[in-house]
Amino acid sequence: MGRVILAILLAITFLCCGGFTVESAEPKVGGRLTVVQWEDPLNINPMFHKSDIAMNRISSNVFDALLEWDFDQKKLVPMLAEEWFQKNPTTWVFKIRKGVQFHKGYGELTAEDVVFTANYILQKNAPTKFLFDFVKEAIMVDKYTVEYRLERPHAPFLLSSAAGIGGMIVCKKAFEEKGVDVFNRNPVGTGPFEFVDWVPGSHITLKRFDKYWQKGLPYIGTLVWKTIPEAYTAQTMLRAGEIDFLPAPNFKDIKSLEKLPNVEIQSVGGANWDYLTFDCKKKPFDNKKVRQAIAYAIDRQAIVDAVYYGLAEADDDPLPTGYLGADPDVMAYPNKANIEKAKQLLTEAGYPNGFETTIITSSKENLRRVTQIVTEQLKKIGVRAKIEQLDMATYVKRTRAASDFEVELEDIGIMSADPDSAFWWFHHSGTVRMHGHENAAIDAKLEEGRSTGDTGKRAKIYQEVTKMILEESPYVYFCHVSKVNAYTNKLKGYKATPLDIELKFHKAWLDR
Amino acid sequence: MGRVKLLMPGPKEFSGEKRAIPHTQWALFWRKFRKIALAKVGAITLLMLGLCAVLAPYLGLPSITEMDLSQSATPPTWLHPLGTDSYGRDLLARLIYGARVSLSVGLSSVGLSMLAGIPLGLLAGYFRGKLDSILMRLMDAIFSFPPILLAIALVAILGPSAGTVVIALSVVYTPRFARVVRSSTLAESELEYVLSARAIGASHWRIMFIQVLPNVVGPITVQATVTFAYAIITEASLSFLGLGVQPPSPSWGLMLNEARMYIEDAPYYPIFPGLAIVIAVLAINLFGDGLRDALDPRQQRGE
Amino acid sequence: MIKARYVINRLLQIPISLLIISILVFFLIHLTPGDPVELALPPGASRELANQIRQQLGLDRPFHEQYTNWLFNAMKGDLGKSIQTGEKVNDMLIDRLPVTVTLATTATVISVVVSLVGVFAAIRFHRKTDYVIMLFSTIGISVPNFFAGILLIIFFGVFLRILPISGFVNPLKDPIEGMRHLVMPAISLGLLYAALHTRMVRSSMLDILNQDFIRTARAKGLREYQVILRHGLRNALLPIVTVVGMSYAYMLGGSIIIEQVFAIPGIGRLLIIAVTSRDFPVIQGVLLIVGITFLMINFLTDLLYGIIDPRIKY
Repeated sequence: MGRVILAILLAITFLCCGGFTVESAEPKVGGRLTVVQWEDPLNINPMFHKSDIAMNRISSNVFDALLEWDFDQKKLVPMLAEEWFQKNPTTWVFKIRKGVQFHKGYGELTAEDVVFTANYILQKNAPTKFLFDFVKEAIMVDKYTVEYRLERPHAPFLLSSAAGIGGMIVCKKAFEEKGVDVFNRNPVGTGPFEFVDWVPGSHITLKRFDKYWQKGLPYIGTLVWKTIPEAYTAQTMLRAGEIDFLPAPNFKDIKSLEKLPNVEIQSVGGANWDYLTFDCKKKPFDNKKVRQAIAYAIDRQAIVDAVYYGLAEADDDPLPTGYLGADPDVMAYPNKANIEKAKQLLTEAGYPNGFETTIITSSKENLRRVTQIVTEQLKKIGVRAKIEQLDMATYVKRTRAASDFEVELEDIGIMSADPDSAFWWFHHSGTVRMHGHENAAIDAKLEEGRSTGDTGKRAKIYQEVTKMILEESPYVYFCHVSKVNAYTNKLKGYKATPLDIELKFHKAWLDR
Repeated sequence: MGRVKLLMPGPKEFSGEKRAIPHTQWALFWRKFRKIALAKVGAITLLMLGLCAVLAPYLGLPSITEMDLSQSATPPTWLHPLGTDSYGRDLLARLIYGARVSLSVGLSSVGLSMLAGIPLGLLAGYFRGKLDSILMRLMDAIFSFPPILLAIALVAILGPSAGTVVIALSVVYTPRFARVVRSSTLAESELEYVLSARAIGASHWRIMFIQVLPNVVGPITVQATVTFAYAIITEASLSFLGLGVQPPSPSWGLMLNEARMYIEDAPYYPIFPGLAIVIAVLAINLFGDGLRDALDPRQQRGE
Repeated sequence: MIKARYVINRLLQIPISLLIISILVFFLIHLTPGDPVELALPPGASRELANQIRQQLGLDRPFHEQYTNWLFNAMKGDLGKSIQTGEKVNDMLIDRLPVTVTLATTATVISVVVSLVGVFAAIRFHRKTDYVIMLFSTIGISVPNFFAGILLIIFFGVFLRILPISGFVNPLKDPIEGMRHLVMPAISLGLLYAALHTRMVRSSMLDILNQDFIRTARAKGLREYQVILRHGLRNALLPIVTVVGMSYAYMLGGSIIIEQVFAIPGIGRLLIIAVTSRDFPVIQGVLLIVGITFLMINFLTDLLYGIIDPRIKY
């Protein structure tokens, strides 16, 4: 009897303690969160998207898109658009949510703003235009209905042009009133946070928008984006409590950050890849076997361990797990290298003693380390590579403006949740990142993937494309680097997404 | 002894002599010792650095390029007396090889700027007039521009590398030599021996290079040591910014930049390359100071 | 005495020098490999888009046309827009110049205040004080400014955690925070010049102290400190005044590195960012402002020197 009572008492004690350790589920409104960015954004306007992570992250808090891709449920959810459907294969109709307010008293969001945004991008050749392939124009049907007319059926349309950066809507009135230069530094959108001020080189302040259409959200009172160019500085400040949120700390520091009592680490599989590619027009890379040999020679797991301390997913293909068409069983090249096969292929290709080449890479610290590891690994099959580390401007010029290289090693963050964005700009003829490897079969498959609406069919198509690309091996993929965030444990409710460009705080709150 | 008040110049030294007469045995000894000691310390250190630079490949040092990322930035041990760098390479070995880079870039820059600046200075000081004006205008323009900015501009155009740094530094430091040589030449060419040489009919070139130049060696040497010191610091600065010597070459400035990430976990790591720079430059400065003292004619009198 | 003609002459030379500088800079920058447009575009952008933007910005016109366009606009006060951000270069400069000026001024003040130690070195000539001060000054000129910065960061920022290791706060708006953020960068930047100025003050003081008029003053029976302060110091410090001008100009160059180390949003960092992204208008604008600053400083320094030193005749 005594034992039973003891057991019950213990159980009650456990429950009470357990009860106390459960997070208080009530989000608190207010508080100030300081987030680190490596550099000032160039501007804050989703129409002017560039390879600028800072801009995209801030935009995802100041602006909303028509739709949003939910990575967990793997489907599109309504945002500014309540309903959407295809009227015919080349026309998409969006019903705009009523009562959505713009910041700073600029009134209600209507179809006019949506049409204005889309058409501005299309007609003024705004940089975001590359996410609007095959979109002809946007038409206002009535105050809350918009039609997008396409030139031909284009499957990636929703994810590229209606969700994410492409789908963000700016305030027409504010834009016309302020003019593009002022607006870009003083933006007006419908997002959960509104712009307060920008001190160049120092910080950008956003504050809670109390008329946000998602009632109750956001919780955080003030969101400050502080520009700190060095990761180690940001880290010291995180330890000292001077900043609250550090996206992407140095990988080597993550272990020691984890030990800190006031810091939490959250890591999510990243939608990006580290890779190397060849100018397939130059010898010896015009020979498929050479490319395959190199793909076999890379010890991907070693890269993951040494450079990313295990916080990356070794993979030989461009689709991270979870993407449509990704198939973890399709593994052409093992994560640990196969040196014999690589040497054999090289011999078959006519290079039994290997050859010499030059690998160029940019100034990114992690990539430099990857390059040095890869160079060491390639030595084992007789490929003696010299490394050329270039500053960003020269690197971009030599790899994009002209194919002035033999081998380049780079990383890419995928732009949208649609698998097309992982393939098209890199493997289709005529795009800037495709270097000399024109393959009609791959082109045809990619085009099919774009024009087919059926999800099941598309999955199959992209699986096939993956197989073909692995066979031809114009790109050798290493891994998908995880997105790691380190932040104060006072921050609750924050959920990261795999896309590098998003850092949205609408559901997060501070336990003060 | 009590507090000795300001020492007045003695009766013999009217001509701006700075030497004071020491009043105590200790002061006398100390002054002699100092003159020998510091400059010699500088000279010896320089010599050792030079030896390191020259003999580096023969010292049986661990590889400075082979990486072992599992040994990133480890603390000093018997195997690695100064620890390892961020890529797992032996820090001490890299510092020793770094001496090669710093000293060679420094010496080349000084050499080239002497090659350019000395003739320019001679021409300006000897011929005077329009030539002098134009040359000095040009030299002043370069001289009043902060060296770093000029160097960055040149490096941006030519692309960062050790060679570019040498060229940039040579351009930046040429005016120093030109000016020094010019003022000495101006003074010298008023002297008797030059005037008489001209009267005899010796050619200008002969006079300039064979007669005037040797007498100008003193100031040139002093300037050379000063410039050498600046060159080493500027090369380190450029490499620190990523605009100088490129990896995997071991430049001290570059190593310091790589070490910045480890300020929290391994604060000793950034100190070593920085210390290397300070030691080298300090040695040059001490040596240079001693040289200047020795070469200064005024201070050879009244001892 | 200074003749008005000389002054006008020098003043007129400034625009000419500026012109030459701007031409040189323009051509040099355009010779650099690297294309700002490609750098400014997302990875998926097509070549057509890049060419269109290049056309819009006028980057496909021949050099001399681009230069004359820029020059005309510059003379109207319009320095163009950044290729990367679209911001007006004028605005960028206005935002960042005061920051660098604050840093350089603080560093200069520190270096001048510290250099007064040279007076003591001169007084206690060849005694322990002198040697110690000279040793410190020799060390001071041997430490690169970025290393000094890193040492300060390690000690005060990481070890003691009493000073912030990056960023800038306007001291006029928030004096305490502003000073806290300025201390380490200003000391790092000013260290070299503090050492140099100390040597100069000492040397100049020594010269003065050995001169006749000092001995006269002593003979008159004035007390030592009066001799030093009233007659010696003032004259000794005059040459320093003119050197400070040059040091200030050089510090603008040194601030480039310090701004990198301490993440201070000044002109130096702006220049580095612009050079890395080949943002021509920004580079031009920064170098133009810097050029004007030097020429003005040189001019004023020469003028000052002429006023102060009665022996110089123009």
